[in-house]
Amino acid sequence: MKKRKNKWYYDANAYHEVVLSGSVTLARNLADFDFPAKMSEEDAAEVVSRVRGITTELSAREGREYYSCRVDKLSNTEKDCLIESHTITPSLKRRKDPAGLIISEDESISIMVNEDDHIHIQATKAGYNLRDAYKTANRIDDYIDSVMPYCFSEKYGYLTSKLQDTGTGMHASYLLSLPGITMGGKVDALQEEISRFDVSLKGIYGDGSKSAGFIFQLINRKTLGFTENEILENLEQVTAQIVDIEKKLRKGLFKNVGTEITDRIYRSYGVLKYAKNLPQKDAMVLLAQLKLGSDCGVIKIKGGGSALHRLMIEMQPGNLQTIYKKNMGSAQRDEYRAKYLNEHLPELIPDEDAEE
Amino acid sequence: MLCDVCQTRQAKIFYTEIVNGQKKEQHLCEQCASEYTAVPLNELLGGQGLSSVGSILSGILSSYAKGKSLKNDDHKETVCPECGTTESEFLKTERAGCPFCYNVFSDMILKNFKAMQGGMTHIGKEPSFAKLIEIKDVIPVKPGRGDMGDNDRKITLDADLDPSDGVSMAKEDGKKTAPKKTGRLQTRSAKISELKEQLKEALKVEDYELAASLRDRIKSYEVKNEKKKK
Repeated sequence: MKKRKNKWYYDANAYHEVVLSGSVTLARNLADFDFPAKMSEEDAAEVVSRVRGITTELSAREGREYYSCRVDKLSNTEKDCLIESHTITPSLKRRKDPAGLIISEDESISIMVNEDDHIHIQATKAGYNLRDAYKTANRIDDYIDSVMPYCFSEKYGYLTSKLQDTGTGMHASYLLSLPGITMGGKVDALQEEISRFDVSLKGIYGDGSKSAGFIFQLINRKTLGFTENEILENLEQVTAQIVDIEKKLRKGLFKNVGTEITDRIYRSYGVLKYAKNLPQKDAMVLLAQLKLGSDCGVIKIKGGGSALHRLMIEMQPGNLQTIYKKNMGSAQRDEYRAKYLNEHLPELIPDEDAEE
Repeated sequence: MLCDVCQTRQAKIFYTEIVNGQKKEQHLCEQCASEYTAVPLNELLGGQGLSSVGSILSGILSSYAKGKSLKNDDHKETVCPECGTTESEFLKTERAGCPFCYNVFSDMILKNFKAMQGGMTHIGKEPSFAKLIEIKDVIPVKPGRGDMGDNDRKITLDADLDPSDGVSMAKEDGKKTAPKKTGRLQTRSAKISELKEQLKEALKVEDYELAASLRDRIKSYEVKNEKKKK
């Protein structure tokens, strides 16, 4: 696959201190084929090549470069890389039968072929902006709809393999950075509260209410009986409330245990800058604490939180092995991770006014 | 019983682990169980985007299946003639293998949607060209109305497997031809009167749950009809 340069998560202008990114996925199936789990290998290959066939036309229509590949023929490292930036899902990696991928240059748009369904169109936007992501995904959906017939029921909408996707086939999600809520011990309460709104909140780097890096995904649970707009609106409303709570709790943190938190933030910087062995979980927590400091203006870093979010992705195994162009065992990775972070941690901006 | 690990919450999960022939039993609460059986961090990295909501939603269908098998012992397993998905497979994975599964397992799907989804009818986006799959309505078998379940299933299967019936192909090539609007409108109007009949029937037997879902569907068809007319 081609070397990609500017990725969507580099976008510092779109940076939001709580909402890292918004993403919309549309699940679609082509008529005349069984769903991927039940397809023959020949059919799977046929679907992949049909969908990959639109790549050139898609580039022309969208005015940007798109690349396509056979995912089942990529190396594990290449696949991990794409998973780490949330471009593809782990279940696409696990598929043994022919599977495909079309991605935009910046990886913000991906069309996964033969994941749970024939087509998963996914559009991601950095920051607090779900509507743009939806518009993009919808536009691509319209185009694909015009060249190959989907399978659709007037009663149940888009028919999908998983019953929890049927209907709109749409899952909208926000990736949220919630150090305030986590440190304030409110994750469990929030998760319970939130289920009333037909959305779920879960840690993506860990399990349930614990998430290294305080990063959580907020996603709609229901797809049938709502319009796309209703799903987006609902998610936006819940997100707005979470953002408010998070900001309040962050303020509260500094008010109550300010010295301790400030110390932790500076310590994080020191360790990331000089430690020689950094397991992934540690690095994730340290970067997240530093991000909290930067978001709250306690510490000033070149590039701000956006640069730190980028490091969170780049220090993961797939990216790390791609950057250093070698396969590594986990012990070796921890050393290279430390090396990478030592060298790439953004500089501190000295702030005279803040220090007395 | 309290959880063996935290000793504070109620134990809900009985976890049996057999390592090298040694059996180890634990009574855990949900939180501790999820920690105990957690996959290492690396495995979970990148679970974003399409990550399955499924893990938290499972269980509904399997409990339904239990109740069903209790009712009649000589219950034969249904198999989708199109893709070969078996009933037990479907109940376990809650996944359809092909569009026809939606008809073959329609009663279970209805059950799942009732519990898990926001409505019984799609009201969102519609494709401009699509292969329309007709899905039959399931009228739950009420005591006293006779066992029409199996008959019901057979009829639809025959209808659905005939390509000329129930499935209309709207387009083939890349160019936009005028969609068969009138054709679909007629089906819709026919559908509405059919649904109204069913609604009457449902009200007669005082099945208000079904009636409400029928009412919603009629409404949505009427709205769609209005839209198309404009």
